[in-house]
Amino acid sequence: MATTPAGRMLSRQLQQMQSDKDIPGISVGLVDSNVFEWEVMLMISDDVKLYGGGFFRARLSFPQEYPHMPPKMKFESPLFHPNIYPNGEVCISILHPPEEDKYGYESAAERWSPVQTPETILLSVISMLSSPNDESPANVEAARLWREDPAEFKKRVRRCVRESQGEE
Amino acid sequence: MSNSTNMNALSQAEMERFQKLSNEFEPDVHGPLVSTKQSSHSIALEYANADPILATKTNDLAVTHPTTRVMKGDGNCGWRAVAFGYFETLFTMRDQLHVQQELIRIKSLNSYLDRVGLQEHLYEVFVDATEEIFAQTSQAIHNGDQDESFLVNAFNEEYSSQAIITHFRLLTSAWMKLNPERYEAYLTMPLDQYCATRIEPVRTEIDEVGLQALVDGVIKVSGIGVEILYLDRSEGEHVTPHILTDSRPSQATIRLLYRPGHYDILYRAEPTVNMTPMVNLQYDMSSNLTPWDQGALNFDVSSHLMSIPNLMADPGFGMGAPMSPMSPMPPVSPAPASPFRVSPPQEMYPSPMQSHVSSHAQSHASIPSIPVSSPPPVMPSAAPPPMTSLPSRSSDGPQIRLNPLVMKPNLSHSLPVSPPFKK
Repeated sequence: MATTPAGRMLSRQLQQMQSDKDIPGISVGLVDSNVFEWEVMLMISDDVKLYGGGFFRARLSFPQEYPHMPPKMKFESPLFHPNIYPNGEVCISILHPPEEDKYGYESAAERWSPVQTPETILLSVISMLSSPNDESPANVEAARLWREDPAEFKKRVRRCVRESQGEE
Repeated sequence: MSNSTNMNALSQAEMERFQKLSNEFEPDVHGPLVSTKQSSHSIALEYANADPILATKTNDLAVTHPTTRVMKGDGNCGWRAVAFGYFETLFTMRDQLHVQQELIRIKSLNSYLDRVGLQEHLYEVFVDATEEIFAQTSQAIHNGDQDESFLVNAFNEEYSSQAIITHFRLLTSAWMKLNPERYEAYLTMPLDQYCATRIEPVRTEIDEVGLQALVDGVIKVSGIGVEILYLDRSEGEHVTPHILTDSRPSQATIRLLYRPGHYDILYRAEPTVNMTPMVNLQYDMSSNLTPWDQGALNFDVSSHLMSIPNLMADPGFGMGAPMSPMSPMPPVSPAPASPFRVSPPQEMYPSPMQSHVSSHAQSHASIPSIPVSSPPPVMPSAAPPPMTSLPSRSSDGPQIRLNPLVMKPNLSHSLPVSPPFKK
């Protein structure tokens, strides 16, 4: 199974995250015992405005080139957010493959580096929930409402949160 | 085409054409990560119809440095050139003891990584890849392999090649964080941010400060020198050399050809004729220049002086530390209160291995020394050295030289010839 360096590294990081009690609100496991496919459950704390209380299921798909290349992250629960595509895919600077500079981020924006881990990725994503970046919106409608109609934006987000709670 | 080499004499149309040629220069993005050795005439051919200065310099280069090795322009080329050059040089020296010493030294640098808070499980995969290349190098020497094809193959294996480069990136980043006073003044952003956005991310091309830090933190103590040859449009018939390590003769030297945004490896013609050891000449010159230089210059603030090639070439000048007793050079008059030093040696984080490996370690903190250009290697009766003073930018025409440690925030944007493929 985990015979490549990438595989060995991932199983170790999985074990570490599963035994680490210091990261509340995140639980991880494998999809079909494949160390390159992680199932993630984010239980968002009430401190995160709007999204607080949500239970969001997502997948992390790691490439064979990991950690030279970043994983992709995709929410499986519907999640209305300027930086999440309608299909659930997360658009955040640290997950962009290095050769894709089309997003036009400031060079100061945090980029993928091989010392990022699943844990740092998930923490960045949680932080993204409370502070969207509308420079390069993945969900144009969400970005527009977030800027122009906060009340409607909040309504849409809270609906997602309620739906996510109903799933449980 | 104009016969004149004076850029000012060129018409607007010609300038635009040269600009276009320059902008269109692209390294091979489809070829191997590291090519086999090839003739430097290929470089001359690229410029045969270009700017006369570049054509002259590349023709000259094909004579002085007849072979080259092309790095894929994927954003890692500078890092890869140094890493490959380092292992190739170790192999070429064929000194098993040295290889073992270097393996132990490089592994001991894990302490840098620990000190900046990296956990071992995050970096061990990269250290393992480097260790594997050491093992292959040692084995190839043991086997008496004739050529370095094992290294070319290893560096063309994407995953392990990336891993070695990442290892060197992380070591460089940690080294900079442990010696911030050496680099902070040259950065346009906080050092931690610089490391996070310019050093650590994959496929982020190395810049001048990063290259100096890579050489300082990872390569220098090995005793292997690193020299950059700038192919630029400055006056002169030769590419402009700049030594990143001390000018005392190294056991061997990695030579890099720099064109804006890209590095390849160069190999000098052997045996070296007319190549007087640079260090002696420079030592003499710098000694003579001490009196006027002392009060007049302040390296901490003068980026103009820092732009002069070979500025950092003389380890003997401006150092508080005495020369190594093993040095063949006569003792230098001590300059304890030298204003030229950025940081005193005792403030540097010492390499755990340096005292065992090489006397070169003593010169770790040789920062700016005297602004002396390398003397022309041939024909003392020829024209005076081209760069003993600042080139006049107004009369020079387009300048594409980006000298080490003088990157200004907008320098690359304001130059007439922009780097064609910034990654």
